Amino acid sequence: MLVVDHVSKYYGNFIALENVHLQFDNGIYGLLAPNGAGKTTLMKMLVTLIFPTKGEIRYNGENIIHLGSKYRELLGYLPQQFGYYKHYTPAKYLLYLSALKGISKHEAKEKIPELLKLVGLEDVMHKKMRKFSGGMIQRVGIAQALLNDPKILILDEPTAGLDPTERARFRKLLTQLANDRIIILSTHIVSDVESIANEIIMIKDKTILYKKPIRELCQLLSGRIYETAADFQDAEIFRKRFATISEKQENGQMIFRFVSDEQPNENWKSVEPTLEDVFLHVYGEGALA
Amino acid sequence: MIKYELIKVVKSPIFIILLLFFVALNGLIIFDHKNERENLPVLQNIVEQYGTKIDDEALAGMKKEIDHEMVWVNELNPKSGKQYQFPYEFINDHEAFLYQHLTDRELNRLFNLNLFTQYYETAKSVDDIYSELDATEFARQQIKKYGLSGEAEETVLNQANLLEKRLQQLVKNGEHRHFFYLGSVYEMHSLLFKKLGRAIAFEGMILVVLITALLTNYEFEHRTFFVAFTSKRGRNLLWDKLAASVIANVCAVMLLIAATLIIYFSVYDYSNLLFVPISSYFNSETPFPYISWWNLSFLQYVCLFVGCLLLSQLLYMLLTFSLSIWLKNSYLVFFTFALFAGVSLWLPSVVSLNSNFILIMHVNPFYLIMNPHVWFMGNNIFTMFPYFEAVTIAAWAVIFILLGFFSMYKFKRQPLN
Amino acid sequence: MRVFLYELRKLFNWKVLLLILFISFLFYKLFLSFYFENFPNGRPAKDEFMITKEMINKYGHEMDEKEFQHFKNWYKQKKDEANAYLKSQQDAEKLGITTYEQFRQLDLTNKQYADFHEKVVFVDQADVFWELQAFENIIEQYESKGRDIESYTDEDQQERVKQIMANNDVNSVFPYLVYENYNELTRFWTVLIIISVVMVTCRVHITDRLNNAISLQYTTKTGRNLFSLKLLAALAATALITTVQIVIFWFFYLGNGTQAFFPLSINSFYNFYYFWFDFTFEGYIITTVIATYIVAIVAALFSVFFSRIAQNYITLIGSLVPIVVLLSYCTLKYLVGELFAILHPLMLTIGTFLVLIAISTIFIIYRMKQEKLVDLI
Repeated sequence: MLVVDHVSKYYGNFIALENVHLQFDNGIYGLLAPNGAGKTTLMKMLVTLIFPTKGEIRYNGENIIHLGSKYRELLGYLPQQFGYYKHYTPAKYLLYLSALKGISKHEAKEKIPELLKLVGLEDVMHKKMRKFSGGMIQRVGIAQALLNDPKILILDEPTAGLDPTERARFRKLLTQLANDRIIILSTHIVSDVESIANEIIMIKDKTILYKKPIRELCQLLSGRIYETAADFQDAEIFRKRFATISEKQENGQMIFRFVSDEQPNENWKSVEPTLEDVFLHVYGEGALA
Repeated sequence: MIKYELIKVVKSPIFIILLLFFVALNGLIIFDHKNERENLPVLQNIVEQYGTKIDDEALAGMKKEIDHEMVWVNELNPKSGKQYQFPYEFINDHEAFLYQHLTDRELNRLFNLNLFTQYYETAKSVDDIYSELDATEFARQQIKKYGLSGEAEETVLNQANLLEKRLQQLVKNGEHRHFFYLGSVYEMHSLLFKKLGRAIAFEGMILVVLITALLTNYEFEHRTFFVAFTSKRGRNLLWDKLAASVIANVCAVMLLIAATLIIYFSVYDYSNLLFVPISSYFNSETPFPYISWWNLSFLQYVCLFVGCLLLSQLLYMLLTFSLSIWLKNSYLVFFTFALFAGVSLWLPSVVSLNSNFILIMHVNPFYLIMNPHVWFMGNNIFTMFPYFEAVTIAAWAVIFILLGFFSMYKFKRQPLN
Repeated sequence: MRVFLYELRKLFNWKVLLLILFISFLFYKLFLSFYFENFPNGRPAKDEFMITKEMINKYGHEMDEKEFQHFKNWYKQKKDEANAYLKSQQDAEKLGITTYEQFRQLDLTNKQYADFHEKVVFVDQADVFWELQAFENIIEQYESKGRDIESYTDEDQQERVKQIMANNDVNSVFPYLVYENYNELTRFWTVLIIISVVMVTCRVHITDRLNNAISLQYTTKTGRNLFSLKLLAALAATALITTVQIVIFWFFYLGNGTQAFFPLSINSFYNFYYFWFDFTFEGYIITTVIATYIVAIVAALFSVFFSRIAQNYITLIGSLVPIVVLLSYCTLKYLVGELFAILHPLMLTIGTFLVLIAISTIFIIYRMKQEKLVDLI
């Protein structure tokens, strides 16, 4: 079990995170928050890149800083900006990282082709990465995160640059891996976590707002999400009158969704709240004006 | 756009630190051996009393002063039984006596008088020295020293004829007949124009390469090139960077030169000597004196020297600009530039000594800064052309500008990924 | 071990190695080749070199008073040779020059005498006249040994000169030109080593920073210990570069043919330097090699430190320029050049070594400690 025990992070007078308390067991946790909320700060503390100002993070009862290499041995980390050497091939780079991760050369040489096949890069494993697309680089990043068969997988925006097929594949992979490890992934793309996460963690105002299964989160807005259609020329009136949480175009009309405790009008139908509704409501202007 | 580029330079503290370090280094050079130049004020006294021009009146006055002081000198050791005419005669005969029997004040007075006499004796012999000078003979000795022959020898001798004509004009103008700090003793010309000149040139080179590389490679090294070069300004941004480089480099180099010269002229007083011709015999440090191609005062020479330093730095900036466009990596640019400099300095040594090519090979911007003390002068057979500096700078400016245009042309057609 | 080897391999990037090769070549051509290609440099240096070698064969490593008399007889024989030569020259006969003494005292302001002198010495290059110059230099130096004590104003220096005079080393026939040649070569070669070491080791951290690889590296099992491994890799690279450069140096230097002088004391009457310690030439060589390694390691330590803290190449190079300039200056002046010569206070040399080692080590230890604590944002 990974425990974040009342952790705060300050940079001088600036509060990056305040009094965060979380527990993680095996499963997938989606970390949802807008930019600057403190997601990456939390993730960096989980991977020991930065240290809490207050509180501590424990793994199986021991402080992860004291555990040192024993903890990092269990980590797989994909940073938001995945760094690589342009003149290296994926195979060579993973071999180098395997050395850093304390994996024997023999074992690494067996694992690397498998991992690259898993992420769909088996054909280019000996090609220099300077020619790779952003998505291919990201897949190398995912592969390296899995190199040491980590017990704790921390993925910061892992699907950035991946096309829908690759994202679907990635979700499938995570589901397969989630049984016996802790997977924490931060993302802006709600659909990445909607179908696979056991729990969603939402950070607001530098602290944890919610840590709940998706179903429970959606229930917060149960019976309060309404949807209606309007012509384009009326769209501006709608926007001024109602604080919508989302809008989209469909069949030549604007479809608006918003939160309200009561049904304002019989034309507005009540719909099932989605995780995206919750996200937009929490971080946007979701209330009826 | 240029403003934003300049901010990148200003916000990089390393340049200020380097600038301060270089000024401190130059300060050390200036103060090094200052003790050996403690008697420089003797000349200031001469000039204040007799002016800078050596004429009969000045010589007569100086002789009178020497005779007057020698009365005191001869009284220092009445037991010697000899009457000395000049202080160096007394000093030669009384080596041990001096430090045992004279006070510091007396020693100082005696050595100052000795120096005063040296100025007098030198002034008296100036015309004789110049009547025996032969620029062609000087050139021949240098030709022999460096082993030139054939075409190269002929060209140098032709230039020596020009120098000879200039020498005659110099003598006619009386440029050599001016008091100045005794070069054979103090080597002030070498200190200012050779030691400091070279130091400033190399220091400026380092600053210029770093500033230019920073600006030109900035977008690549910060991975903002996708955004920067796809904007409206696009790849023409590099021209803005070049413009900013010019401004930044001129400021940096001028600051370096100004700070160094301020220190130098604060330590060594040239207040009465600014209009003394640079070709004054007193300035010379070798048997063949400095002969400038034109009648330049010390102040004019300093101005030309500063101009030449600055323009040479701009040449390095242009080369760095092109290198940066191709290499896109400041580390590689810096050391590749060093390679260029090294090759330019080495190549002349592998060229045949009997062809004019050896002289052409010396027309390069790196060799230019190796001998700043003989800029605009005929004292170096490899640069014995009146417009050597101007031609070097102009020719290489054209080459580097064309290279810059070519590099930009290629850059605009280069895939960026 | 694997990580160490990977880091070491990363340092020896082919582009950097190529740059070092070219820069070394140019540096050699500009500053060093002269001392290899022109040793001994001209005459009578060549003659001094040959004669002192011959003296080792005749008298051993030192020349005592008895042997000095023998040397003077040898000189007389040479003079007889010169006299015979002059007598065989028609020009000499015309000018009435029959003896070497007359030749030596020629008034060279007289054109005829000057021309004859030039012909004999420079055109015909009659060996014996050059050899005689060499003999005279050696005799003068031997007879005036110890008298230069007056030029040393410091008490410690004077005391040391007295010590040297008191022991037999001063009779060593080790010539100044061998020392000066070695001194010039070794001090400039060390500057080349400093530049090569800095070029390679300064990349140890910054390339990973610029490639955004640090956050990945520091979250692995190796983690923040990577700093120590990179440091070891940099030091190994330094040792390798220094050794290779020294081997190449010796490849060239052995061609100068100074091996015969290795066992001789360098505190000789015929060297223009005295030293704080009783070195033989080979002992001195070993000492300079050790000094070179120390300077190289100091350069590497500074390089590693700045590589870790610099944000970009410009800041890195800008930070290292003063270090390289200062190290090179000290190397040229007294850390390797004129090492332990009494011209420089002993405490200055030792003190500088200690200060440089201390400062560079403190920087690294400080950074090592910081690595454990610092937030990697």
